[in-house]
Amino acid sequence: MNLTRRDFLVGSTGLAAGVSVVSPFLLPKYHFDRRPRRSRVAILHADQYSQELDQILAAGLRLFPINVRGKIVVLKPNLVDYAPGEAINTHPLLVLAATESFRRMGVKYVIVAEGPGHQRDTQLVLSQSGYQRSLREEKIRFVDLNRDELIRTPLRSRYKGMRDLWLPRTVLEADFLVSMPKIKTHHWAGVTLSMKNMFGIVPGSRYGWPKNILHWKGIQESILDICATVPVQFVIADGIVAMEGNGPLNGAPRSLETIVLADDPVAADATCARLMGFEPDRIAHIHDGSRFLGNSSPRLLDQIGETLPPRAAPFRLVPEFQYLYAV
Amino acid sequence: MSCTCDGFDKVPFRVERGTEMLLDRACPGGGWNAGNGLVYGAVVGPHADDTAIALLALRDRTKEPIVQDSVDYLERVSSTLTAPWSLAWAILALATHGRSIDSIYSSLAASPDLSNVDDTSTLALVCLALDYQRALSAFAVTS
Repeated sequence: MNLTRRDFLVGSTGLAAGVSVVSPFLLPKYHFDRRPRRSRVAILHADQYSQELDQILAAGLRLFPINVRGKIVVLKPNLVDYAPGEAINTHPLLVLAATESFRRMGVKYVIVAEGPGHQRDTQLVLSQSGYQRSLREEKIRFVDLNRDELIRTPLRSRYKGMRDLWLPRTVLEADFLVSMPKIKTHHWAGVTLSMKNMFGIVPGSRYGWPKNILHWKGIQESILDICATVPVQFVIADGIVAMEGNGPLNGAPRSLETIVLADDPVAADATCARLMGFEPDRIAHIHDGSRFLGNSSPRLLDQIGETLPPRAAPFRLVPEFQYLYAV
Repeated sequence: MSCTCDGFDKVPFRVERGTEMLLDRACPGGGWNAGNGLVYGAVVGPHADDTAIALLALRDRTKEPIVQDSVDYLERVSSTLTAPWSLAWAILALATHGRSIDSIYSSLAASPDLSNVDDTSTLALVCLALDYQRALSAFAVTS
């Protein structure tokens, strides 16, 4: 076949155009693998929010080879909004117990930091939810991540097609970041656990409420990009009273009497999902996270502390997420 | 003086669309929050600050029943507020809609939480609220 110069130019231009259109879908969305060889998960029993949480949590943390001596520890609870009697937020007593435990481990200092996703008035949520008094009494510094100093940060994965996000200095400079979610179902994400909890670090002052850009770009994709960029070193998940149904705000309280600890957010979320009666691999951000951020397979999890309790009735879900149920 | 900037002819249309959206997204019974007032059939309650911001935008729509309901909600809830951010927004909005603000103005001025405010957006808002008459006229927000 004789190929003229014109044929070649037309052909190569078409090929280049085709590659440029298709390549975003073919290129890997991440270029690193943070998965530990094995991950540790502990399920602790706690039937109520009480002063005893301090001892329960301290005993649980001793199951992990954590060295936080001299480090700045940032605790990131899930503090969204307040409604009396609802299980929306990580309970302040659990945050106090975590603070006390880490202080005893010789940290430089502990900061509690959150940027509420639904309520603009952080001080109002702190006051109504009981955090403000507890934090003052225990002299714990709180940073409003919605209004913290921001640093433009390149994203370490490309799930939502953005190059960077402006993120709070407090989180970026933490030596040891602890995600402290409330175990809840979520009407747009299926579940909200330690990885989804990281939405709270995205500043509302830059991106609006309820963290609009993340919803427009895709919730599952945003969770992965944030967790790829800001590694969570440890998880303390509040499932003493969890939430089922139309979460994260309007679901029903569900007593799970459990705290989940883990040194890997994917392992933590996979375990929480199993406790809720869901198949973790059907939750997109856990499924994709298990390819580069952590482990979800039971084969790769060392379950320490108590054994997985017998399966209770699964958590209720909104109709769109019925496919999450484990068979 | 006429403006020669491009795109200003689209402003009235955009304002109308924004107004329609605000009226559509109001919570049942009045007020606004950061998202929807109804999710999967469940009512999501209003927030004082979001309601106040929306009411400032809707100052010319006082005959709308939902606006009246929202002013009533804000007036009712404002007496329970202690946080400077929400108090400041409530002062600006209620003053714009001609409601009494004496009590919440005193609350804000005497708030012990003012000394803990360390973000500039809240501080600026509090300054505007404590000088609300000049602030509202400066932004041409007049009742």
